[in-house]
Amino acid sequence: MVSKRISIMFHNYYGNDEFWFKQVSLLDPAVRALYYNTVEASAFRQLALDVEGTHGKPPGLNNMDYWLLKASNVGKDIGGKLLLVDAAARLSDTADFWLFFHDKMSPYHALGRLWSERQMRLLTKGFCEEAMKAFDRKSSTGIVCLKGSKEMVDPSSLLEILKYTVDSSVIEKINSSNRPLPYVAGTMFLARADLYRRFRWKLSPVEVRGLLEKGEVTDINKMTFTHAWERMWTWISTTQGYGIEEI
Amino acid sequence: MFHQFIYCEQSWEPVVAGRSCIPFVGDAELLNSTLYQNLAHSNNRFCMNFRNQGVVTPQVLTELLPFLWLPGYYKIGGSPVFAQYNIYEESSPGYIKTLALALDKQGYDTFYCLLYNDSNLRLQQYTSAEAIRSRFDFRETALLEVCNSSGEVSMAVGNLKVRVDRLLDGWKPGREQLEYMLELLDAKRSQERDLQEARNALTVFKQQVVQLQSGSDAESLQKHYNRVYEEMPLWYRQVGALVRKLKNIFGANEN
Repeated sequence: MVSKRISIMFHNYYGNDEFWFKQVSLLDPAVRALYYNTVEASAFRQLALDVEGTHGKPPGLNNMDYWLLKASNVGKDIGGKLLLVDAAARLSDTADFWLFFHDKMSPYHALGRLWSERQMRLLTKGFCEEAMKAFDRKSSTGIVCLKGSKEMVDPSSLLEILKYTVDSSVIEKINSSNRPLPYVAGTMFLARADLYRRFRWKLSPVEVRGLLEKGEVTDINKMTFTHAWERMWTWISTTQGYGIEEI
Repeated sequence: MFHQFIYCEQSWEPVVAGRSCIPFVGDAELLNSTLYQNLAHSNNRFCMNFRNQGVVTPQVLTELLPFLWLPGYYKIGGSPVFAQYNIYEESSPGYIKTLALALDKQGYDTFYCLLYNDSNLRLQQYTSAEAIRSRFDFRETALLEVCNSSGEVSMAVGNLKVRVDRLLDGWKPGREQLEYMLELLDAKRSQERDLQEARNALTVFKQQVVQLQSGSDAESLQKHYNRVYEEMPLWYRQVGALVRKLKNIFGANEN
């Protein structure tokens, strides 16, 4: 049995709230709080009938804190996660671990459906328990993600974009190895919350979000702030000397 | 319609309106976190009211923007509303521009100013882009007038150009994104075209296979083969082959 050590940072774009609340409620004993960011302007949300249904505490989440945000559509899931991290700080969140999650569908990508099916494992008791064991086993593990979601990227092209938003000491650390760096594709993983709390934010998370691209962005043939920060999300942990473990 | 306002004055002492107040004493950080927690819990609607519009700077807004994302923040069609007590007083252009710039960055292209007093309400809509641009035009016109009167038109034009360039730079990300989306759309269309061509080719191929499988040609070919090569005696076939060879040789010579 895992004690309440996890807060979930959930960015929702495609609606379907009831389904997600049910999934989260299955994790009950391990989860301390659910931070739930919704995109008001999302066509999926405007079409859904359950818009107002998100107001008030959803059933099944009685044993955990529930915080709802209704935001604009900036920086895709990373924009949402930045807001969630900011909200958690304002609400004095004390969890040991943060589970970053969003309802990934990637309709423009051939493998989108496969990804969305695979990510569901993150919201299972089994994954959380295994991840807790992995964190306890090795104190230098900062991130636990799904097997196969770790990818390598050459950071040099991203540094041009990142240097406006990230402290120069962090940029130096990213640049120092001078070879491809691992990152977690999809930015869905369980991480030590302290790494994100004590990260040297050059700009506040809300200011960073203000620089990300609005609306739908894809990085098929062009690098964007949003996608640079998608990689940065992993490097917040790795630049502080913590590793990534796949389970 | 809504139950609470945040009043923000120079001292950062917020009071909740609708005649009643929640006084608060403390520094800005504590204020944010306690007020934020209370409002995050609350089901009441609320919105910000800057009594003194002069205190609204980009830094102040960065601190206050997170309140917009709380579920109770008063919005019209997803666009945030800012209250103002005096219904007869227009919002100051500087205040509107600062708001517009900050909100535009955070993905709100429209916002409202709700002007109210004890008995009336007036709603003023602003588009972030327009608010930014109108302020720019106003300043450039004023600059041109001054420069014209002092005969320094060329300098004014130069300044104007620099400012237009800056404005365009400011909008560059949006423009690039648009161009990029159009590129994507083109790529998608050409992909669809290729796909359609491939589908057509596949249909023709399938028809050919069906024809072949239908057996009419295959059967007649088989029959012909059987008759020529299987049913005739061996010596007949050998003589036939010899005749064909000779024909080839002499035929070639004739030509």
